[in-house]
Amino acid sequence: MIPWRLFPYLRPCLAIIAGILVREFVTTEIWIVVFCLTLASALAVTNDFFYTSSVRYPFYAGYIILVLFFGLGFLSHHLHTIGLGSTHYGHYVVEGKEVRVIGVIKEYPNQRKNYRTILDVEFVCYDSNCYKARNPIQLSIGGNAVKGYLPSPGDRICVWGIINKIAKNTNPGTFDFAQYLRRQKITHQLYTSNDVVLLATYQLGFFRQSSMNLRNRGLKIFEKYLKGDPLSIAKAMVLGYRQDVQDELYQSFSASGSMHILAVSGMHLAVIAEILLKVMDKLTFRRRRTGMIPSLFIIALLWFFSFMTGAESAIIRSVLMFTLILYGKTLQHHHSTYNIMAFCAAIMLIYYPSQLFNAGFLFSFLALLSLMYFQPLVQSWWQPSDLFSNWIWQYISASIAAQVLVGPLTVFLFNQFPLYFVLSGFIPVWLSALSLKLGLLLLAAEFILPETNGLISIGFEFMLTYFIRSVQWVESLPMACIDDLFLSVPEFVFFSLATVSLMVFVKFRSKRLMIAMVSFFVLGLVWRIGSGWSHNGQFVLTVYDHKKVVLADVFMGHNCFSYGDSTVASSYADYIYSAHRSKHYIEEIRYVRDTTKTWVLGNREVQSKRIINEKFNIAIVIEQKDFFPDYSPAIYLILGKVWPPKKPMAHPSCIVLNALIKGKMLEQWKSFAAKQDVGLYSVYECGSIVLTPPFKIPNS
Amino acid sequence: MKNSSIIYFTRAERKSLFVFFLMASLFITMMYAMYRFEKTKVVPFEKAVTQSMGAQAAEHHIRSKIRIIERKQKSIVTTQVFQFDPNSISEDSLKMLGIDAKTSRIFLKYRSKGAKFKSKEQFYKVYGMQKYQSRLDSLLVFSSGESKKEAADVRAFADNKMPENKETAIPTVKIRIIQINEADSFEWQLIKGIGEKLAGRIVRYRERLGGFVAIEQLEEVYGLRPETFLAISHLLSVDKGQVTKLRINESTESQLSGHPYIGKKKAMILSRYIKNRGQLHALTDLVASKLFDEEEIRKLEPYLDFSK
Repeated sequence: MIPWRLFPYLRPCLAIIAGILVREFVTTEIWIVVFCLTLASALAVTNDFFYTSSVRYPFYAGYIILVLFFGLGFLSHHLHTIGLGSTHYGHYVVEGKEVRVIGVIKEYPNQRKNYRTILDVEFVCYDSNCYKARNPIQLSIGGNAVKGYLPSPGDRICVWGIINKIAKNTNPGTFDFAQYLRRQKITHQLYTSNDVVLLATYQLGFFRQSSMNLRNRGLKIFEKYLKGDPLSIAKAMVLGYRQDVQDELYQSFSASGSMHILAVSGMHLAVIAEILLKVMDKLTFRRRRTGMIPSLFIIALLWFFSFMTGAESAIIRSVLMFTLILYGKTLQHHHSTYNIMAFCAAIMLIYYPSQLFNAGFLFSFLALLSLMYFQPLVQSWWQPSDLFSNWIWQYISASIAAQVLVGPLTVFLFNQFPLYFVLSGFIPVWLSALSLKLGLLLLAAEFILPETNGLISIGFEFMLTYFIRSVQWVESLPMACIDDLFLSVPEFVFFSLATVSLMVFVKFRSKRLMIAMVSFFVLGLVWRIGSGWSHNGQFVLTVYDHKKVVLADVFMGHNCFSYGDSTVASSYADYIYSAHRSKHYIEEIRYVRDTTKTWVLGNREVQSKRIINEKFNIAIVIEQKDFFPDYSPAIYLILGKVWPPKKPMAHPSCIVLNALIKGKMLEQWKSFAAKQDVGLYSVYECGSIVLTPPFKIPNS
Repeated sequence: MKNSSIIYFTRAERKSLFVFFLMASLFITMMYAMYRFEKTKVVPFEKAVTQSMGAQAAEHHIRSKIRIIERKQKSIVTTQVFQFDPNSISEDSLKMLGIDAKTSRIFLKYRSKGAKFKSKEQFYKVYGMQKYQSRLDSLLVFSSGESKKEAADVRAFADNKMPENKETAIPTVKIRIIQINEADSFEWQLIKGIGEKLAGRIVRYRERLGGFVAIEQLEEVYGLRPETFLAISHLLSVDKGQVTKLRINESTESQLSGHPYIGKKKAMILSRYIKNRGQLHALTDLVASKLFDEEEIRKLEPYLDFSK
C-alpha cells in the first residue's frame, strides 16, 4: 500500500493530472465541469468552515478536495488551450498581405535554420495603423537581412513580410510539430528576407536580460578558449546553448542514452548547488548549512542559473524543488521529498498545463521518482567492501534505477532503446560531472583570475574530448541502440506497470506483486499478439504528405507495397512512413518501381501497376497511359505527375492525388472531377490520407 | 476510516490544500481575465514605434527609424509603370515592374533558351506571369525586327539610362552630370544653388568620409538644404568604386574619430575594444560590440576594411 498520509500533495497532483488528461482526450461540456466545481467548492467551504469540531465529514471532504483539484487541472488546461485571447496576433493576419510586426526576440536565433527564433509580438501593423497584439510567433530571417544585424534575445525589432499559419503535419504516426508549437501559443510563422530594423535592445526585463547577458559573456569566454566539438558541448552542457551541436554528435548522444547530460537538468544543478554550499560554508564559517542569508543567496543564484540556461522544464523542476528543500532545512522543518516533488509538479502544471505532454517534463519527474524510490533498492543488491567498487556501483545502480520508469517512456516516445545505458550512465556521466566543474571554474576564473584560464582550459578541453569520445565509443558498440520499437498506448501502460511491479516485487517479495507483474506482462504480450493478429486481413492505402517526392503504401496483410520515391533511402522519408508501417505490423516491404511490371501477390503473379485482390481493384496511375482500364477500379491513386485524361473515364471512380500535383495541374484535376462527378482528394491541399475499404473519400 | 485511505485528509492538510486551491484559482482567473477582456487597441504606426523605442528615446531618433522602415519597405514593394518589350526587358526592369524574383528567373531562363514573344498570350504562358496580367496588359509592347532600336531604347529607359542613339532620343537640354566623388570645388559651384562655401564643405566632408556611396549622403553636408538637394539630385551620379576604405584594425584613434560616422567618443571606445578583444574580423564582430546601432552599421559598412 502507498502511505498516502506521508505525501498529502501527491493525491491533489494526481487529480490535477487526471483533469488535464480528461480535458485533452475527452470532449466534455465545460459548463458541467464548472457546475461540479462550484458545487464541490460550496460543499468544501461549508464543511470546513461552518461545521465545528463536533461534526466532521473527513471522508466526504477528501472526495471534494480531489474533485476540486481535478477541476482545477481541467479548467487550467481548458483556459490554456482556448486562451489565445482577443489580442492574439492571429486575429489580425490577412492571408497573403504583407504586414509589419513589432516585437521582442525571446530566444537565440538558430543560425543553421534561417536564424529561426521566437518573436514576442507587440504590434501588428497595416499601413499606418498598428494593432496591439500578444503571444509569440515563429520568425525566420533569411537572405541578406542578417548581413548587417545579428539578432539576439532582448532586441525589439520591426520586420515585415507575409504571416502564414504553421501547417499541421498530417502524416499518420509522426510528431505534430504544429500542435507542439500551438501549446506554446505559437500558431503562425513569419519568414522575412527583408531588412530587420532594430528599435531597442535589452528588452527582456531585468532578471531575464541580465541572465541572458551573462550567458552571452559565458559563450564568448568558451569561444575564446575552445573550438570544435568540445566548444559546442561546453556551450550546451554548462550554458544550455545547444544550437551549435552538430547533428551527428546529437545522434551519438541520443543513441548512447546520454541525452540527459547534454540538457541542463537536475544533475547540473546538483553539481552547482554542491559547489555553492561548500563555498558558503567556507565563507560563513558555519558547520551547519542552514544560515538564512547564505540559503537565500544560493537560491537566488540557482534561479539566475536556471534562467541563464533557458529555463526549461527539467531545470525549473530542479531549482523549485531545491528551493523548497533548502527552505525546509533552513527553518528545520520536517519535509518529504516525494511531497515536495508532488507540490512542484502541481505548481508547474497549474502554471502551464501543456507541460504534461512535454518529454522534458515527463523525463525529469519520472527519472527523479525512479531514482528516489528504486536506487536504494538496486544499491542494496550488492554492497562491495572497497571504496572504488562501491563508487562504481553507485553510478551503475543509479543508471539501472532511472531506467525503471524512463525506459518504457523512451521506447514509447522515441521508438528506440539504448542497450548500454549502464555504460553511458557511468563513464560519460562521471566525465561530464568533472567537465561541468571545470567549465564553471573557467567561467569564474575569467572574472577573478583570468591568468589561470590558460591552464584550466587545457584540462577542460581534455575532459570534454574524452567525454565526447566515451559517448561515441558507447554508440559504436554492437547493437548499442535498438531502433524501430513501437508501442501502442495500452502496451506502454502494461509494460510500464510490469517493470514497476517487478522492481517493487524485488523489494517486498510479495506474492501479489509477483502476480501483478506477471499479469501486466502477459496482458501487454497478449495485446501485442492480438493486435498483430487483427491486422492479418488488413487492406490499407496510404498516401503520405511529402511535397518533394511521392510516398505511398498499400498494406495487404503484413505485406507492404511501397510506391513512388519511398524506395529512395532518405532519413526524412523514413521518418514519415516507419511509424505508420510499424503500427500496422508490417513484416515485409516490397518496393514497386515504375519499371516493375511483374510482382508476386500471395501465390499469384500480377503484371500490372494495379493492385488486385479478391475484393478490390485499385488503379495506380504513374504515367498517362495507365488510364482507361478495361475494367472498373474501386479507386484511382494518382502517384505520378500526371495531367487529367482528355477524354472522360470509361468507369468513373474516386481519385486521390499525390502531393506533387499542385498549381495548374491541380486546377485541371478539379475541373475534371467536377465534370465526371467523382470524389477528389488532394494530398497537397488536405494532407496525407489513409483509406480502408470501402474507399469513401472525405470531402476535400 | 483508515488513515492510509486515499481520500482521507487531516484538517491541517485540508486547510493547506484549500489555500493552495484558492491561490491557484485566483492565478488562473487573473491570467484568463487578462487575456479575455483585453480590448483591441489601434494606434498609429508612429506611436507604436515611439512606444517600442521607449519613452526616453529622442524624437529625431524615432522619426529616423520610421523613415528607415518606410523607405526599406517601399524599396521592396514599390513598382513602376512603363512600357516594355518582353523580348528585350532586363531582370532589373522586371523587378521594377513588381514581378517577383522567381517568376523573373523563370521568364529569363525561358527567353535564354530562344523563346520569342510575339503576342500577349505567348507572354502569359510563362509560369507565374498570369497573375500579373491585369497590371501588365497595357504595358506590353512587341517590337518587330526593324524596331529593335526602339526596343533597346525602351529597355534603356526602363533601366533609367539615356537612349544611345541621338536621333531617336527625346530632344533634351544638354546637361552636365557631376561625379560626386570626383568633382572639385569649382565643379560644384557650377550647379545652381551651391556656392563657394558649400562646395568647400562638400569636398571636405567627402574627404573625411572617404567618398560617397550614395547621392543621398549629400544631405548630411551641413548647409545643403533638402529642397536644393532635390533640385540638383538628377544632375549627380556616384561611382562607388572610388571609395577609400578605413582599415579599422590598423587605424589609430584619431583616424577613426575623423570619420563622420564614428566620432570622437565612439572612436575611443572602439580602439579600446580592439585593443582588449583583439582584431575585428567581420561586420558581425562590430555588431557584437553593440557600439553602433543598426542604422549606423548600415551606413558604416561600405567604409570598413577588416583586413589585417
